[in-house]
Amino acid sequence: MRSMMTRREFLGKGLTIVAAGATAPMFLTRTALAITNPWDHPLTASAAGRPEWPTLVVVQLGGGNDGLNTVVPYAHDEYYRARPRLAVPAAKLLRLTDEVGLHPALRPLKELYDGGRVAIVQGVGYPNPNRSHFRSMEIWETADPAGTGPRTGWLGRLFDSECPDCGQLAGLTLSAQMPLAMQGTSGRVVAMDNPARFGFHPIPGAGPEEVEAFRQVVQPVAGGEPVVDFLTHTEMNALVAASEMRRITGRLGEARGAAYPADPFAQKLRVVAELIAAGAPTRVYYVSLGGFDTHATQAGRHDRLLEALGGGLGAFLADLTQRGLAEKVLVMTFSEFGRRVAENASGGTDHGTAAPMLLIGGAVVPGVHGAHPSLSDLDQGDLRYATDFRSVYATVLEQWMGVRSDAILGGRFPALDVLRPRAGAPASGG
Amino acid sequence: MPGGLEPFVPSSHDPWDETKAAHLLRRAGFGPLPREVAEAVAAGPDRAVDALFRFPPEPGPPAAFEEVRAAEARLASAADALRGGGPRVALKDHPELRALFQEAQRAHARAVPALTAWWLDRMARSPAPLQEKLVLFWHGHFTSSFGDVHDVVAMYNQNQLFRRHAAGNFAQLLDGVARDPAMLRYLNNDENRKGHPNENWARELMELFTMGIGQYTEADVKESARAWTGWTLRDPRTYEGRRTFAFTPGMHDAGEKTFLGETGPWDGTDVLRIILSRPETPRWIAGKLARFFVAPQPDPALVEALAREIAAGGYALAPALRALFRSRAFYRPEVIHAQVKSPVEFVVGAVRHLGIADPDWTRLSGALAVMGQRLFFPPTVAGWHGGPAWMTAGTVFARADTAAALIAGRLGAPQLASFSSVDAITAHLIGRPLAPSRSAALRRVTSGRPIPEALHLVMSMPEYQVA
Repeated sequence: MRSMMTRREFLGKGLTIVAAGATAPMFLTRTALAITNPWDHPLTASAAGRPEWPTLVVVQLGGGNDGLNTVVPYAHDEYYRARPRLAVPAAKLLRLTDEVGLHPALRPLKELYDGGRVAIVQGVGYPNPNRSHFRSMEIWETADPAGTGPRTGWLGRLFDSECPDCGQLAGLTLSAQMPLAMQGTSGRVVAMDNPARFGFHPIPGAGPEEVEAFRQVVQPVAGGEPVVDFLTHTEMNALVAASEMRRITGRLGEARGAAYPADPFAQKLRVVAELIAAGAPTRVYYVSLGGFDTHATQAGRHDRLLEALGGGLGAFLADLTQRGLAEKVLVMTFSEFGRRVAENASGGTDHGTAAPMLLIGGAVVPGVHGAHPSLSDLDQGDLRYATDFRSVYATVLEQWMGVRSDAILGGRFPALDVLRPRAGAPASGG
Repeated sequence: MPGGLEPFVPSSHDPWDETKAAHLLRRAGFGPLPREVAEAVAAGPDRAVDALFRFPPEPGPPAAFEEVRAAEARLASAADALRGGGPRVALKDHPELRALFQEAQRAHARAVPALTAWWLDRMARSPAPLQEKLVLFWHGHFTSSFGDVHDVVAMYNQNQLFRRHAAGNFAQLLDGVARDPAMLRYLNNDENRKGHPNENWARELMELFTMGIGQYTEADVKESARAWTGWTLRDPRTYEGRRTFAFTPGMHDAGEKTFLGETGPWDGTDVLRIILSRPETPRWIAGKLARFFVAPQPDPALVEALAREIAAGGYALAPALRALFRSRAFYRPEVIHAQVKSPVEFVVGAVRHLGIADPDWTRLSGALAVMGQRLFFPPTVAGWHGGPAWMTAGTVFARADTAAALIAGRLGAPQLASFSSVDAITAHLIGRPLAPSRSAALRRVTSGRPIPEALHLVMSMPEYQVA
């Protein structure tokens, strides 16, 4: 189902409904655009001096996406033997090479692939894979399998070390919860489910002067307890980010009429496209699509999830292209693990290991990269990884974001030949 | 001897006072009122703590369940009529049955906000809020989501299981959870059968529910999954059958397993016995209880002492919790005000503080979702992260907006008569002096402003988000 919404309708109700389901109360859905905000300063000169970073959109597939049924190794009989019920018939696949094909629900990605805008890195994982959702997600988010480093995210560390002048909105998560990957020590990231109604709203009957009153009340206090200090900074940062966000949403042009699917994932990507087009200073957007933990009745569920993934990304790239922005944006997908090669008794799959990552955008070296993991030489029923995920991160950091990766990743990981180096990116030390 | 469970002994320089009594009632309940704090001060620590454990009888189900039952009954009688004594009919062959099934599922989905409202109301009004606080704890520990279970009655039954064993015996609660139909469906053990194990439940049982990660091997997960084969639902084809546990020998793998170093023809009961015999298990439970009731990073010595108490009592929870709430460590200054209120604590506390007699809990449960805590829909099997993670730029404003709606009377009629001044507001809602600069700023900006605006500012302030 596709829906066409005007920008105003979208800003007014789009993501609130997403976040709260059908019960989203009206007092949380009123549009902030109608409220005068004294923090609506005109753009200041400092924004012009901001370093010109390209934009990265990280898409997290929560729960462990079944890589084998996403990029399907149809040339291998072992795949069909291991999955008598769940294997995707070769005839239905969208063939990429003489070895692998995309799941039929990913037709929009196949079109992007044919247009030379998709790089698929096969068999991505890490040594001694952990099959716990939480530990494995933590490993991907911290880029620290040993768990000996600081408990911050790799993107959080990017802002900490490489972006001292970044404002509050260097990283933006399109949900109320901040993922570990974005958490650093300098607090240059915000999480919000709807940028348009993001802000402190006066109580009915009070005027905009209450916003100024609130700002004065939440100034840092001397000798505060750690928790109160933390909350004070969170609230102050939120006010600063809200004033910045209001400047950006004030610049939004009329919608270009790009059609997005109506589901929450696609609607979040629509917001990302709007913010990029409005010139937001955000360099990393983080969007999640959950529900991939398909231990049972995987067939229909996984089809629908891939349909959401492909539909959302297809619409997003089409929208960016229409706006002339496709060259400035790179999308990277990841999941905490793939799934067991053999299906289980419930028509599902249990937690596995290595899986493909997708890179989508104008700068990719298109094609399928890396060897597909062996389907016969398994480790406890799971694939052995071929490429360390930190090599993909290093490639993105160095060749796309133009920063050195070793400090952020806690070591040197060889870059892959999956991105065309950007002009102006510093030579990497690799 | 800091950190253990040595009892707090009031003295002239360290009395049992309002600060400590309010701390106890905040942690063991939701938004205590000044009158309740005064009563707890007068009662003294022993009686104040004992009073927490007098739990009322189990409540009946929400009225909205009538509609669910009626929709299920319509489906069952239509199926019976079609069957007419013959073999069971399949939904897929009968469009009219399928329509009735979909109608029943819609009734289930509609009843979830009603169930949430029913529970929130109980949190706000129960004479023993600790029981509901523990139900909330267990909901975040033994997670199940309506999004996967699709049965509001099963979610209610699980909620009642948590209530029945709230401060009972952890071993009995665990046994109940292993047979709980909502859990069987949420973690797919209903489909775990011999030769085709599904290891979802077997893994989370150890990783999240009892021992913690790193205390077992992947082989233990696989062997445990074999032991749990056949622990399933009585009949997956009917609502009642899906709400009833059954052990099905035909699905069970009776062979020998080696689990955590012990070899035998184990089934689920044996797995639980072995898990409960491990020292990691009381330690894991103690750590989770301490993080929930004491501090995000509790003193390891306190956790160790609590674990010993739990183990010594054969997993009886009430004595361990009583010792915790009576301990000196619980009242250390760095523990008081060390927690960030969860959205549920914020909303239920705000309703109580504002004296809203008949709040619109259904809309408030929607607000909770925006704040990051949608009851009956935990975000993952690990539940809610809690602590500082509750507060992001986005949730700060969701709390402020909810406070505004409550104060403005949009969600029920507040009683604001006792809030005659800024001092009265902070005394009632914060219950301790503010830092001088915060206090000065608050007085300055509220001078000459209406009371609702001052209330809104205070309820949006950092100090009100602290428990």
